[in-house]
Amino acid sequence: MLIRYACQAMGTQFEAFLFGQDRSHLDAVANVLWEKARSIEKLLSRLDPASEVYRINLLTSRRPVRINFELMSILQTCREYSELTKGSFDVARDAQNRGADRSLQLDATKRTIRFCIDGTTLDFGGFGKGYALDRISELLTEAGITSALIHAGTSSILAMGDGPHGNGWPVAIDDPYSKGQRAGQVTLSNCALSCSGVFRAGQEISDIVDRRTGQPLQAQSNCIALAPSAAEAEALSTACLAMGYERASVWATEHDMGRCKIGFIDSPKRSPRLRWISKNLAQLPVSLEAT
Amino acid sequence: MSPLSDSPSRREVLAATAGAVIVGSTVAIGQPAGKKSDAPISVAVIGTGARGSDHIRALQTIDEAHLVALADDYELHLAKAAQIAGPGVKTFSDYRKMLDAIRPQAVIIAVPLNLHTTIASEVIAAGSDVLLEKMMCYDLDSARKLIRQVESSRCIFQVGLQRRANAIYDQGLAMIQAGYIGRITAIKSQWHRNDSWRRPIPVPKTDPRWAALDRRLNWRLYRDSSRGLLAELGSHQMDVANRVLGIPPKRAWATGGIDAWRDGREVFDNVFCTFEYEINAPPNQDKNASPRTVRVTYSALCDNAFEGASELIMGDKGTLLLTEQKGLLYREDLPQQIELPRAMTRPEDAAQHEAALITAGKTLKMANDPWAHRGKPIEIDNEGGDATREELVSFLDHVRRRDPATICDSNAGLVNAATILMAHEAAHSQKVVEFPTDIHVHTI
Repeated sequence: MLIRYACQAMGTQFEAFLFGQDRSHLDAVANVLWEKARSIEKLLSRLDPASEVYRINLLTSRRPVRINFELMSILQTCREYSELTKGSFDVARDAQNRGADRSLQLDATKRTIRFCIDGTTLDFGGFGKGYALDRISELLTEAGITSALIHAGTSSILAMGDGPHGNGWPVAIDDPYSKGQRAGQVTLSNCALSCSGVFRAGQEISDIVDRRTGQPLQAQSNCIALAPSAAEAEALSTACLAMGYERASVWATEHDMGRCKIGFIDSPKRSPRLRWISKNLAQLPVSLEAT
Repeated sequence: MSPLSDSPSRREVLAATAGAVIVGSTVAIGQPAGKKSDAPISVAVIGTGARGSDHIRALQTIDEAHLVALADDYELHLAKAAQIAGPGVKTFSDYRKMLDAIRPQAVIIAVPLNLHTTIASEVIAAGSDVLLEKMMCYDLDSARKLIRQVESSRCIFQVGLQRRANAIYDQGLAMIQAGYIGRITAIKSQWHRNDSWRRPIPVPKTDPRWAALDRRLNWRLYRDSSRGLLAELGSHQMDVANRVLGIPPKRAWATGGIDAWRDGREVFDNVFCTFEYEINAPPNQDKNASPRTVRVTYSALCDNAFEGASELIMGDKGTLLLTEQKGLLYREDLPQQIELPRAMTRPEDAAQHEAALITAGKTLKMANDPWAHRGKPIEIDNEGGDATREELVSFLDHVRRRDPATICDSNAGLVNAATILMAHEAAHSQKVVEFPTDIHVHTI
């Protein structure tokens, strides 16, 4: 049986489609999934005054602040993505909204973080939901559930297993230019998808910022990233959206993209809407059909 | 409250209650009561399930804490907790061996309820200070013994009722004390959810180990280890009621059953209680007021989540809704005496705002939803950080200062447990149960 569970956390709605035989086991598993999502919200939210990141954003100014082991390892991972994307992905921002990861002093031994520039804040908006999905998928594996589709607010999606029919989990891709229309469809198997967009309906100023200038992006487009982990997919779609198709294409040729794939929907005139920039699709367990 | 009348600004409210907030602040910043050293306090955690892991995460961020050891006889939890804690923290499957080998200065105990007092007693005997998760005890006799041990050993002891470290509750209590909702008329509290309250078992039901693992991981569902929803959820909320009213209840009626989740569990999946508080000399109120009774209702559900978790404190002048994330203060739209308007002798006086009682205009549109009459609330946000972290900070501060007056000392923990166990007994006996007469309330 396939059961849908839902929960509000991290400022959005999580859903889990769990496939299994024992309903009471699935129910119990869902309880701990949402407990995990809320615990990660307590760690990474920049809006919840009870969160770790909120506390750090308030306190740290030229003084090292002790953080927990999990946050330290998250910051180290994010630093790797920041370096990989030449700063297009950056969880730290200065007062002008420019990337500030390089100014952070991370001391893994003492487990401290220090902001060296006044006004620096952390924002895990382009990483946290994917990270949460990865942690949730570990709980599913532990609980013996091998077939599931989970997402956070539809922008971060993680598929475990090959879906109920054995040919992957079907996921449609929204067309940002035509309300209610789809720009394509993918089927995912043991693979994550992240979709970053410049504007959602009705939004006037984008929450996605070019880390070089600190300015919000201006032109509507969506970037889709496929990757083995949801955190990786989210970091890549966030970074590549800020780069735009041209820069991302150049960047992709210069870097080992591993098993990742990047696509853009960046023009209302193009048909098919979705175009992919890397050619290593064969390595990813995913099939695509553009509409 | 009417949208036409003036509402006090949040700033006014904060100013009016600021003094009380400082008194109620969870972190004592006064003069040290005892010896003081700057070295971090060595802390161990016994019990590394979900709650123990919350403590581990929080402890790592506190400069005054040095997390040294973890103990749990369930290997899977211990291994996960070790991962959360990171390198350098020793793990033990036997907490006694941990106490012997490590001799931690302070110990956080987050184990099934039936083990609370036994383990706390051994930890105190080993010379450590204790933060014992709520509820303090499975039965009152073991708690009474533990209190005697706490007092004779002079250890620092705190029960983990973390709403006491939540800034929203501090602010709410201060507003009540400052008279914002007037005389308390009733409290309605509930924790309603719609899930099985079960944790998953890492082996399939067909596995011979399943039953034992279920008893261990789902200890909350079985009577020999748990007092059910009242203890696990209600203890937090009845603690709020006791603190608001300044006394424990005199008696309780209750009913409950296993009606939604007939899956082998032994504790009720829904429970409804009414508590009576007999107020003799209400603090901060008219000393001549005659004695009166305040009634408090509590319910816990596992098959409807509409109302969530909150405490609704009703007074004759206003209502305070408290949750862990937000507080909302609504004022009643009461008749009030106002200044006589100045006489209007000339037509142009009518144009002056202060001369008129009413300014005529297009019809004020009120929403027709059933909650429109409540008006716009004054909002209380949590500006004090995570309550679990704050309760640890406060506890460690008391440890450092050798100050036994923690935010929830052993007596307060006993009063809380007695309140809950009274309702628990009432629900099972279907009879009115009185609060134990031998429990003297020093602190709430």
